[in-house]
Formats: sequence, structure tokens, C-alpha cells
Amino acid sequence: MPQQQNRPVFLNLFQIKLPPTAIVSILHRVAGVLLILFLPFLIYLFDMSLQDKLTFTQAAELVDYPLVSAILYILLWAISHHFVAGIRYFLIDFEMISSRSAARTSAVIVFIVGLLVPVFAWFGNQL
Amino acid sequence: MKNINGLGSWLWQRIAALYLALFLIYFISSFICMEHFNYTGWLQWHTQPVNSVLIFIGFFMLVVHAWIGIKDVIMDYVHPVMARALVMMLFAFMLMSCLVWASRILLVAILK
Repeated sequence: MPQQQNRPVFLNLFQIKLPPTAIVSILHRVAGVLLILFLPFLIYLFDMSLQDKLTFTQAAELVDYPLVSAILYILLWAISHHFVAGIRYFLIDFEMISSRSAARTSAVIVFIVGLLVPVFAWFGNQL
Repeated sequence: MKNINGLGSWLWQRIAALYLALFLIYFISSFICMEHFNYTGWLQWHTQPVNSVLIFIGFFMLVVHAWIGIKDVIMDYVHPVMARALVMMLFAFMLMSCLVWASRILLVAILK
């Protein structure tokens, strides 16, 4: 494969302007990786919640710590974004989203819906 | 060993995704419909026969989905062969441990 040796490379992430479809796609990945990395922690919480009444209450207290609840809100965003972005990929697979404009609009919707879930959960918890 | 990681993993990724999506909807709606959320209700939901089987399948599907996903990410970003193999083995070990650990937690709860 002949390749030009000193071809210009322009990969400054702060100057490349990505379309919404690309942003949603990258966030789908980021969310997935995030969920995998925190999976042991989630299983740890799952363990506490099922052992007995005492550990259940302790888990509920642990979740209320600012750092822990911040992490869980981020994970809530990750799962809701991964979920809606995944539905979008299914629609693309079944050719229900095929035009350029539909791809863009649906990407924006995915981004907004993914954010709305943790935001609503946060507001719900403040009440 | 033909068709390594080709259509097979593409299809499994989607089968697992579909299962997990439906399970998530079922899981959330179960607790929205529950009148008082407390330890007893939470434990009962998980140890109920049909639910516990669905959860076990869910753990398996989650690990399958996570493995195919992380494998694709690693192949995109980690290029040296040895480093790639090492990172992949690390995640494979981590995900398998998670599967055994989570299953054990549920089993202990059921047998209680």
C-alpha cells in the first residue's frame, strides 16, 4: 500500500468541528466504557442491597454521599444515553433512519433525551 | 475457527442489546409499580423464580454485550499486539469475574 510519507495530519481535537452524529457516536462509546469500568462498583452496591436490611440501609446511605451520588448520576447519564443511542442504531439497521437530515435530527434527540433522564432524576431527588 | 469476530459478534451484540433494553424497561416498570420501595420488596422481586432467571440471563447478556463492545474499542485504540492482548485479557478476566460475582450474589439471596 503506497502511502505519502509526510502527508499533513490535522487532528487538533479543539479545532475539528464534529457533526452531532459523530458526537453521539463517540458518547455512545464513552458511556459504554464508563459503565464497564464502574461495573464492579455497581455489583458491590447490588451485593449490599441484597444481603440484609442493615446493608440495604448502608447502601442507601453510601449512595447519598456527594461523590458517590455524582458518580451515579454520571452512570445514569451513561446508561440512558447508551440506551437511546442504541435504539437509534437499531432504527438505522432497519433503515428507518437513512437520510442525512434524519440521521442528524435523531442524533440531536438522542443527546437531549440522554441528558434529560439524569437531570429529571436529580430534580426528583431535590423534592 | 472460521468467521472469527465477524457477523457472529455483530449479531450477538444486537441480540444482547435487545434483551438488555427489554429487561431494563421491565426492571424499571416493576419498581415504578411497586407501592413502597423497601428491602423486602427489593429482595422479593429479585428472588422470585421468573425474575431470577431473567436476571441470570441478563448478567450473561450484559457481559457478552460489554465484551464485544470493549473488544471493538481496544482494537481501535490499542495497536501493539502484545499490549492489545494484555488489555483484552485484563477486561476478559474482569468481566468473567463480574459475571461469577453477580451470579453468586443472586444465588445467595435466592437460597436465603
